Amino acid sequence: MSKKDVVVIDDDELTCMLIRRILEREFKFNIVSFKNGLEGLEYLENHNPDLVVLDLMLPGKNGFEILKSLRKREEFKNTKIILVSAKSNSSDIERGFDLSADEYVTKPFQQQEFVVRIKKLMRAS
Amino acid sequence: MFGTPTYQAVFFLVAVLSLIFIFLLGYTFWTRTKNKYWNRYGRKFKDMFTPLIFDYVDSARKSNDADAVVKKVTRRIQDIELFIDLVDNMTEILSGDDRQKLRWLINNPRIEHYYRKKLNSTRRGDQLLACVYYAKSGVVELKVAVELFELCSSKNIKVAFGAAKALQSSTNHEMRFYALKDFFLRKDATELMIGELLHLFHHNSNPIYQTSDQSLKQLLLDKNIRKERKEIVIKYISHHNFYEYSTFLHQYLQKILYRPDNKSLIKHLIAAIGVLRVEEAALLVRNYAVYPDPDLRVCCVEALNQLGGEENLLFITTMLLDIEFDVRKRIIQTLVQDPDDGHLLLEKFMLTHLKFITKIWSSDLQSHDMFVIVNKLQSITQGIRIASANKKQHLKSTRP
Repeated sequence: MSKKDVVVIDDDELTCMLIRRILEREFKFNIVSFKNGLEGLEYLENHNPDLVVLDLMLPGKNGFEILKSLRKREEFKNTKIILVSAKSNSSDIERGFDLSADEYVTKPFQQQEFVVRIKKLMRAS
Repeated sequence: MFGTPTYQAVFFLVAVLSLIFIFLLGYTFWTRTKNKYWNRYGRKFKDMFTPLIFDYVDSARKSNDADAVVKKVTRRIQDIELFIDLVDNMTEILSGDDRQKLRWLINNPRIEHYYRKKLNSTRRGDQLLACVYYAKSGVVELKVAVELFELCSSKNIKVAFGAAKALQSSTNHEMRFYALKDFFLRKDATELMIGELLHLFHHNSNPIYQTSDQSLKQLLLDKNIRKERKEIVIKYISHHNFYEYSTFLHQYLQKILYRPDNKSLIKHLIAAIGVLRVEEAALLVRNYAVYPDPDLRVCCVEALNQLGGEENLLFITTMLLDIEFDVRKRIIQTLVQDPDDGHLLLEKFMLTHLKFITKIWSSDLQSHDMFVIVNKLQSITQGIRIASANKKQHLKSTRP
């Protein structure tokens, strides 16, 4: 079975590193990461990953805008998108799901919980 | 010509200015190079320790496991600071057991010992570093608490504030309360410092929430604490919507006598009563609404409007004939913005008084006093019209 492709867009270096570690250790995914919303979106113009892990507060373009523009495109219909954010307001979570995010993980999180959520998502796909 | 005193003075000035310029240039270059070096060093440190700490988080089972990681950090101040910062940033991402393991790193005896020495130092910078550390790690030992209490009475406000903040990380409620109270009694503490300390003392997630609730009441009742500080506590209570204080605030307002030095405190209490909607205090607020101080009356108008209810709104409407323009203006503004009956009450007021004005004009009752009253009524009705038109325009512009 071919390795799944994952794009991580998060401006926080530590979060990016942690997510990379978890995904590499638990799932052996191919991971590409970006610190800037615009750079991430530019990469996604020509690539169609299986999973996108997206921070909400990003320089360039925020997570909601990226999510919105991805969901408009037909080729991203089956791509799983997880929002990771320190924003834990119910209105933000609701907005994320309204824009059809598949999961919403609030920071701080437990590694095990993050793994379980991704496993569940990938099983569903 | 070159030997003249003027030329010598100019030459001397140019030489001095050139020297200052060269010194400043050199200093700027040196500080930039130094900053670049430390930034590079910080990045390398982070690159080296981040995977190490993540590995430790994955594998650690008991607090002693932290020793292996901590041993790798040299005893240099910069390294220890960078390490603490890194672990601190990680605690913002990880929760649960992972976070507990990160705490083992911060609380490791090697690091604690290092900061304990800093706490005993006479240098302010060292004392501050130690305070910041203990605020993160938590004050567990009594000896440390005693030293921090000593720093709380330092003449340097920054050190005293740092120590008071560090003591707020203790699990001992008495200790936290006395640190807070000591700081409240200082004359040099700023409003922001008091607010921050109050927040640390009273934050929701703390298991001692119930007891700290009593402590805020004690602070308000303490005669030694200045009124400005008490006003901050009242503001804090209302901004955080602590409804459990409603009855207490009502009783507290009943207890305070109206005096010029109590005016500001009373205003803060009335504002809080409005925000927390302490309906049982409405009568007391209505009593204050007829006091001669216009600022107090404005405050009462706002509070009564927030309390709502037919009786309070009618009372505000009767205040429309107030002598002060500012009070009348605020009443119109609050009633126009009122989502329920405010607008109807204003309309009723306008109709009644317009009828009255027409009657006056057509009768023989015209006198100077009457003319003043009619002018005031016309100004009020005009104010109502302007405020209503503004509201309509605002609604139009915000409508999608």
